Amino acid sequence: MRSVYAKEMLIYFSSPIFYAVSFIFLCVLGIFFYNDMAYMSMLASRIAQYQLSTGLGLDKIVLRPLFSDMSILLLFIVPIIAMRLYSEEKGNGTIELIFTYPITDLQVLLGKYLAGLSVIAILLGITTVLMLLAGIVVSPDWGLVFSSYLGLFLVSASFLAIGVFASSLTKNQIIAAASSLGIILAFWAVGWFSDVFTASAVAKFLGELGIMEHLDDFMKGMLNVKDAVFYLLFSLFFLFMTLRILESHTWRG
Amino acid sequence: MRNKSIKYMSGTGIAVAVFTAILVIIYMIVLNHPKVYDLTLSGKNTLDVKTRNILDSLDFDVKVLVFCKNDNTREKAKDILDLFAYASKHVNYEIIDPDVHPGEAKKYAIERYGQAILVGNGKQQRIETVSEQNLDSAILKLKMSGKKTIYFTTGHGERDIEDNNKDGLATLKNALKSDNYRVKKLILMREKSVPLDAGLVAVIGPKKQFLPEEIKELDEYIKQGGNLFIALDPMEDTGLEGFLSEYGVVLGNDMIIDKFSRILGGDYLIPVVSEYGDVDALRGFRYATFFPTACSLSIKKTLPKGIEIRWLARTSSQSWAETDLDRLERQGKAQLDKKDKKGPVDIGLFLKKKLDTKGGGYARLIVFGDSDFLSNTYIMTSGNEDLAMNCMNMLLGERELVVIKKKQANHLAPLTPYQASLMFWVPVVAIPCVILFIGISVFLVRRRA
Repeated sequence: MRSVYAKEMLIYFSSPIFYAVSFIFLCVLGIFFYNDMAYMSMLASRIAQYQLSTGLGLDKIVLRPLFSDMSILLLFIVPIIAMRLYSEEKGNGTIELIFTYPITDLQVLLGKYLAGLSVIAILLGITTVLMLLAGIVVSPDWGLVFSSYLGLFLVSASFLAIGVFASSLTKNQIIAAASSLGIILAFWAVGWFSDVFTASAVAKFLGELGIMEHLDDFMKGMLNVKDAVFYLLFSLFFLFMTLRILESHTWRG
Repeated sequence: MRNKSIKYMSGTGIAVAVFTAILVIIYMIVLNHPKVYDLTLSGKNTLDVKTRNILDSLDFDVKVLVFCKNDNTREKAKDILDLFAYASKHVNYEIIDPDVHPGEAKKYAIERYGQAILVGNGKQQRIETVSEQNLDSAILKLKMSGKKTIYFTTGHGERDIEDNNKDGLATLKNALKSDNYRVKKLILMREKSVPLDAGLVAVIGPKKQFLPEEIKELDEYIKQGGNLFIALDPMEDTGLEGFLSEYGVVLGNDMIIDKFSRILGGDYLIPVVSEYGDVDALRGFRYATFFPTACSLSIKKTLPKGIEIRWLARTSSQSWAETDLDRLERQGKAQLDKKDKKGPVDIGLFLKKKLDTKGGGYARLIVFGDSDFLSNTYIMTSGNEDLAMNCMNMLLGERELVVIKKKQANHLAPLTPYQASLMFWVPVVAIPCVILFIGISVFLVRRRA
């Protein structure tokens, strides 16, 4: 597993895709961050001018919008990070080689999955600079920052599991990325139904299935055990499905 | 070959179904055992102790129906109601768009966006906006069978509960009403005794003497296990001094001077209290409270049998009780000398008297050496309102209404020009460029290799 992980990490950092994706992600996020900070500054001077007492703080004006932007950016980026994991091997024909390795499918999968997670963790890690920058002006609630990052990491883990699954289906990386994006968007949209059909059992069920709904509490600074468990189980499900797909190669021939 | 494929496929199908079922079951178990932790350092997702006490003692289901559009109000309501729903199994809520469901809105006579209806215990309560305080008070109203009554004495120049001007108590009255108490005036002279339904009698800032008969009524009330809240101003002769002295409380003929108050932007004559005694109502109370023109209180060395007195609030060590009131009034000067009592000075006392009756029990009395802190002008200052409400709730035995903490949002600050350029150049330019630079270097190195 370790050798698979090391190999995947090496490929990530030597491929232009990682740098291109990171560049776009950080650049767009930087612009959002600057906008939010400028808006806060404008509000702050207004409030001081009219001596209003509002319940507004850095959390509401900068952090929550920024983290929610981040989650949407990740939604588009994680499929791109995940797309090559199996598709590339399938395209190159090296997948047959993997099946002959003296390690199990599960070990290969975990190696690849953990490599993807590490890349996401590194990306999120870089964005903590923004928090430090905000901290120069107003000290953020570090507990809230921590829980938001935890939530973003967990939701990305779910996106990645979907991405790995889609990647195991096809040898075309573009199709892999597009279909994982499609699946993610479907699970996002499912959550909206709970707003339309209020208070029916179906709405409640769909609401629980919505992938973004479970981020809300994290971004408010709360650790709701059910949300964390949801993301773990969700990831587990797609990893399990990936294993089944890989397994099918042996009997489909 | 085909048979084999079908066999494998069905095997996979069953495995997927079983695995999915296991995941769903695990999730259902977690759903039924909700656990939420507040990770914020400010505790902004934590409900007040008061709210939690109310929710802990709920023994019926409360359904909250919020009528609003899909906007900011909805988000705010959801944030608060989620906390309530996490804290108690008995609370659940529904957010309804009155334009999409006009029937529901009509059924509950909804007139404005943002109104909410609480249903429970066979009753209904309407609130105008969803806030923690409004929900608390509505839930209490659903819960309480009979209201407790607080009587405010009148006829001796006391502060008036109906008065909306700066010296009045209208703000205090409204706060008491929102905690679901009935508030009435009491003219002792007209009654033979304190009314039987009195949960608490308050004497706030009298200026004239109480008649001996009136004092006797109060005394009887205490002896029968009543609750008294007395707030007296310095240099007023009210006739209550002797009554209090019998119970071991001595009112100082002085005025508290506090140098520390000046630092906080106040006046020398507005002592600030940030130290509170070890009583139920104030354990963990962290707010500063302000007492404009107050006199000191002290406890007699030997107390009558069955009486226990504790200090509630005391001023800082930079204060003292000035006895040279003439000089203070004429020249506006004060100096700590031998006759004066050096700080910390007690400004509020809590007294418990064991009843002589067979059944036991206690009568309780709270005395403050000031009444200005309750007036419309000062009650909203810092923690004054919470202090007053906590004390009254404690006397009325409503421990669940005691407020311990409130949330504070961290503030906003305008950017300096330097900070503004930092906020632009670092995230928008520097960080992405570093990534780009590394990417290009890796590319060049690989091409050379």
